[in-house]
Amino acid sequence: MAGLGIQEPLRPVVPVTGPAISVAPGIAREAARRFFANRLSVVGLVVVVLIGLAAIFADVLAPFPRDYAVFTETLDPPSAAHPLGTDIIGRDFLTRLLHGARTSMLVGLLVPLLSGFIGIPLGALAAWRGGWIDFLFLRLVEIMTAIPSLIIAVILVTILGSGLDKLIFYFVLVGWIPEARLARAQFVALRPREFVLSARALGASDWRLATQHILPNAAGPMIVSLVLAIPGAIFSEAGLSVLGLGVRDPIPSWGKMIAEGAAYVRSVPLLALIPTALIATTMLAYTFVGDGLRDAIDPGSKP
Amino acid sequence: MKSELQNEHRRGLSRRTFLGRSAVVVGGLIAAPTVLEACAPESTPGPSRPGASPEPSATAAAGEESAFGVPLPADAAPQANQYVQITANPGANGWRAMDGAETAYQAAPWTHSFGEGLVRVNKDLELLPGNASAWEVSSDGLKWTFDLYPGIMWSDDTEVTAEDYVATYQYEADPAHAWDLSWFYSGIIKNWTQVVAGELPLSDLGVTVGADKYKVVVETERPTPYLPLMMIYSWPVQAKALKEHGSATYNLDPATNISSGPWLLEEFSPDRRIAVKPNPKYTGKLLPLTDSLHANVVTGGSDLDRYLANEVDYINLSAGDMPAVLADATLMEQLKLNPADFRTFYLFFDVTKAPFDDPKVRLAFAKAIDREGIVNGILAPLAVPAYSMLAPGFPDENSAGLKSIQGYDPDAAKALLAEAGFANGAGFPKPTLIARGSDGPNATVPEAVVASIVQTLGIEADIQHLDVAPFHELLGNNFGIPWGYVSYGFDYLDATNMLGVWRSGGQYNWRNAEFDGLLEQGGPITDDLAGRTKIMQDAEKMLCEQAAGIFVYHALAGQLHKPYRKGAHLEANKNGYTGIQFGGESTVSDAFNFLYQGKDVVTTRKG
Repeated sequence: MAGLGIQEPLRPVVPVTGPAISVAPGIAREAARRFFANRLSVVGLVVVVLIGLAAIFADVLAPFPRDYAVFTETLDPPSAAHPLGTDIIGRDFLTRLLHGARTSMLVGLLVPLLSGFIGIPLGALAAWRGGWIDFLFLRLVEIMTAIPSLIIAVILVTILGSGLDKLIFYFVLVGWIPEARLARAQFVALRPREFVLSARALGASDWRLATQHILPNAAGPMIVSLVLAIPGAIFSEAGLSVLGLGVRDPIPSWGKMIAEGAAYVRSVPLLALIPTALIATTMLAYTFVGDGLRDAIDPGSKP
Repeated sequence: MKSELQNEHRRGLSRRTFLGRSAVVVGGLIAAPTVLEACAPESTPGPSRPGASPEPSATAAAGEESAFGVPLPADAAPQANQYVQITANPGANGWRAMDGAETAYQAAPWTHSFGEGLVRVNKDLELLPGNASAWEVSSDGLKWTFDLYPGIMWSDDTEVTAEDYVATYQYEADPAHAWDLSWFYSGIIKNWTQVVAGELPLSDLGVTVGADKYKVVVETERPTPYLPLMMIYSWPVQAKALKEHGSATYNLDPATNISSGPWLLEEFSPDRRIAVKPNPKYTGKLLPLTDSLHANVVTGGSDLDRYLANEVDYINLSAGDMPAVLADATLMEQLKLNPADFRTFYLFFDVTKAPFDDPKVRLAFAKAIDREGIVNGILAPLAVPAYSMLAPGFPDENSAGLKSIQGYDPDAAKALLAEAGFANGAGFPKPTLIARGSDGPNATVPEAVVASIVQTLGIEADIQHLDVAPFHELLGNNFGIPWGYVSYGFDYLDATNMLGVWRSGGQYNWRNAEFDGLLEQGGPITDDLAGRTKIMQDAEKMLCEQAAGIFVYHALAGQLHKPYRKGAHLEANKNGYTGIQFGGESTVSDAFNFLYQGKDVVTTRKG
């Protein structure tokens, strides 16, 4: 129309104080469509949901109270009363597995969540401020990364003791690092982008720039990272529990059940095999979900 | 399509495909052991399995003797097969020596092969002469004199004399050596505690040479009628070699090994094999039918599997082995049970702090534990319920008479807890049971104990497992364990040993002057054994009534012995226990006088 001499009407300038930029509904719907088109991701999600429901409703689903033991029914095979048999001190094995799911899910979900709450702001701050803050942050990350996280956890357990709450604390103590590094990388990459510069030119504050412009665009990879950290947390708790350094008796955890069942693998192999299979299944399910999320949110990253 | 496939190939395996295939692989790995075990053929039938009969085997020739000149029984295998073969695991701490004087807790298999104590025990745990033919005590009960047999020789042709025993005890008490069993003689041997602490010189130690070179004199702090029993641990090293080498580790090298015992070192490879061979210059008093002793080093795997594969002559069973043994009639025939060191597993408390400062609370806990259920359901046959500190068969024990005090009685337990102010467990602070160790029964029994208490009394509790070192560090640190689970086995066969654990000022903070007085009163008695027994039983009754300790079970050691293992030492002793008793297959007992390999070892044993 410009060639005909008709002037295009001026487009209104988006006010700085107007509503924040948000992801257009179409993008979220498209991501969901891509996610649910991925069969493995859907299967993973179904498994994750089922295990989560089992963990939440363990008290209702379990046929017996968690610690109820009948010493005359030790190592009983599966029966009508005990669908998966009993353990070494006569507790219903299905009940223990259901409550073990709760332990694993608590650790698996809380650790990445808390790690994210700590790591993301720290990483963002380091990237945003730069200078000596970023320098200190990077040195701290290097030092913490040089020491195997499992060693740190074992040392802390030895010094400060075991228990579910302490375990979560130890894992968060080492788990915030990858989230912080990712957040820093995202902020460093996105900070010089045009949409950020434009918003800054229009007078947006640092806080608004970080939370309203950069964070939404960095959320995708960070969400995927948090989801993929879940199986790692589950496995770490299981590993420490197998070593006898995990949650305290009588709280069950799948890792502890593997350690308890290992002594009887010859006579009752299912005592160790079933929790092993559950840990593997859970870890795979979360991995599928995380993989699907990454493909859905950022299709360009797909190999 | 073709280009898409080509592109797929060029890109390589996608993450999704990799994960999908990994799931299949992992699932297969998880299922494989179960499938393989189900499909595995039965192990080759041998004498250990029903349905197979051994082929006729060669026996020892008439008049054939062991390497020590002892005629072999008619049903013995030839001399070439008269060796013992076991496996041994060094564990996390490893092995440092083959002499008890160097280390008690890091001693390798076949320790005590190179020197014999002043005394030893038989399978009834009765004292026998060792290298000492006789012993006597002075009228005041403070000085013991042990007479050595003359002519017992070291393998370098020098004679074993009292000087060797004195040098050994001085080495054990030397603070520079820091012997790991130094606590054993504390308060017993004169000046022992001060010498170990470096406050007195080694020459002041109450172990000296007597009137001649064959007399070992041991002076005690107070009359100690059980001092000879403690001398089963008096294994000597050669004074000359100790002085030359500075430690007893000279016996880890065949080139420097010097022995007065039945054996010489053949091989010390702590990652492969420990073996001893006959000492041709042995002049001691044992009459071994066994020529040599072999231990193959293992660091994992199942001893039961090795036993079933005929790779070892006997094994000590773990709780995890028992379901398989109980399900096998043949293995049950080969099962031997004995109390080993009469170990008692028990709970203790910090009795100075609430709520465990109230004896009613402690007794409520005691009566809330279904010991019979725990033993029968979880530990049998490797345990018997414990209602007292002294196990059945231990001198002065009164298990049956004390059963009613701490025996399982849920109603009485609830009533006691209510009297203490915690009816139905309401308001009871959640305690944490700190258990020493986390392997096998050390993991399961505390869980069962807590489950029994929780179910009976309606309280909540949890458990923390600690390894031995941090457990005792916490205990010693201002008694930092409010509620603990631990075990104790005898060091010498006298009630004062086991009951002495509960003395005021000892390991626990329960203080009872009357209890202490009974032990002090009964301990030195030598002329009225019946009266002494009554005093000890009264003291133990007090212990049970106050529930200073809550006794859970007495352990039994389970052993499997191949049918070709022969000898009266394996048969029932006066208490009905079978297998190799305390003292083991070593010079601490007289087991070697009786044990030999029967003819079937020739066709059965591998290696």
